[in-house]
Amino acid sequence: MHCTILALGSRGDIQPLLALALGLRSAGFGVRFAAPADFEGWVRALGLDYVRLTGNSSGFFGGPAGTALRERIRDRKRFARFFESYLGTFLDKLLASCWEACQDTDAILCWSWTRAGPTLAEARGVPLFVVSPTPVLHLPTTAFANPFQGPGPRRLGPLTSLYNRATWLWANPFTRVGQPQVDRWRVEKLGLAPLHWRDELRRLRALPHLFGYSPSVLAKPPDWGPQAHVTGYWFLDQRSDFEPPPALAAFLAAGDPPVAVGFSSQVGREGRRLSRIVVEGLARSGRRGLLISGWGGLKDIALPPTVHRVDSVPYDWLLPRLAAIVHQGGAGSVGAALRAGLPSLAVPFGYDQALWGDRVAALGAGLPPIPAEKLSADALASAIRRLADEGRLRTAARRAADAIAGEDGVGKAVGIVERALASHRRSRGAALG
Amino acid sequence: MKTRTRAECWATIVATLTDLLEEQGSEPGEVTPQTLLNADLGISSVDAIHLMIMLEDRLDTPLDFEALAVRDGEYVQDLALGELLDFVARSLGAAG
Repeated sequence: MHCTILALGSRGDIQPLLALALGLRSAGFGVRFAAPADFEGWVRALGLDYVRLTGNSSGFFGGPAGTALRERIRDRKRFARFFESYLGTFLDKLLASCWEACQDTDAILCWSWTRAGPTLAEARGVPLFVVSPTPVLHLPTTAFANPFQGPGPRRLGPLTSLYNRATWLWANPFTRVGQPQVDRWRVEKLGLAPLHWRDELRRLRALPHLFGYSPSVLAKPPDWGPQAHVTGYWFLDQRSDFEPPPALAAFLAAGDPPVAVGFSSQVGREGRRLSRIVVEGLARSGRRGLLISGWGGLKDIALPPTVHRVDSVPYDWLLPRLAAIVHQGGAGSVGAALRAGLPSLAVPFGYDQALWGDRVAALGAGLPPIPAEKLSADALASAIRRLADEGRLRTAARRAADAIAGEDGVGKAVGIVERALASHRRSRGAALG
Repeated sequence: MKTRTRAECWATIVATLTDLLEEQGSEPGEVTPQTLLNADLGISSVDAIHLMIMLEDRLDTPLDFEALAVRDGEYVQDLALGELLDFVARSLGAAG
């Protein structure tokens, strides 16, 4: 059996899909991994078959356009304008490259934001699974508020469920964006009739969904239906032979485990302000700090002797050597911190990050998120002290780690794909025979 | 959104380019309206999108990147700074 994974988004979206790809390969599947050009080296280094999709993810998400996307995704009108002015032609090309990538395959695993899914399933006639490391816009629920749009979570007593469900109405316009491109693709390239967005949404919701996060962190909502599976995290184990730079090794050996602060490259226009706050916060906390500076704006800032700076370090090597970590709250960072039993704090910049930060706090394995725009050096210093010193946070984080250790997210997802394909073969056999 | 002269638009474009290239560890040097974004300055299509977003922020006006950079459903291979200037000036309804 052969399957094709359509992987888009930023590094945090690609990484779990690579783990899933390796799991499928171990189970005997032929696996083709389709992703933007900047991920080619990574995909090939893991020994996977690579096909190119349109675009350059890290180039896009790491710069002003990525920041603009993140900010505008909360506002329907601004997003529609941004999309039409900047991304319409990109989507035309992306849809064409998704179609090419899915030739001669028995199953398609498709990242949730592409808008290609239902049409690919229809035109290729093979089972298609929506795959995502985080909840998706098109599956509303009463269990939690839409993290991407709307006013975010509120506690309203008995009305909370109703409120939660209503916040997903904000997502509807976003599931329609790109309709002219999808219809053009269907009619001109695939010879299909145009599809009303409402029908497409219905088909999309009915597809099997695989969510690569732990049900012990965010349980599957009862209103998602039997086609949705929350399987557990899809962890990609990175290099076990990592040799730290001598200065980092010396810093780690010289005292107590430090508290790390690291945001992805997607910090955006706030780089300089944020860098100052982070360095000052680490200095005022009085704890040893490790600054993982994947973002710019740190050039002219002097570091105190208690703070060491590294550009990037493999997380699975680093996390066991830390006291705690402050990150932006991405699904992947939260999963990695919990897996390592490490207390954490999210400083969300947007997207779904506040949701994951809230879940960490709800589990007792960290502190309530501080949104990036509200972060101050004093708030950060006090959070760092609490993360490093409060034993109950570490106890709860270890409890979360135990629950995650008992899960096999990749194995579960692979099993669901295998069973769905077997049943597809049977029903096709019955139809033919 | 205040009106700007072509000279002000040009100055904004050059300043924005300088910031973008500085972040990438290079500098534009001497630029003219004939300077090409990709061939002369090494600006990729993704960088061109970043450049336009930065210009939107500075000029406080929406710019339609696709109207500038897409012809017949394809991205143009390269753009001269003069074309970018004309486009920005048109978008702003710039005087003189």
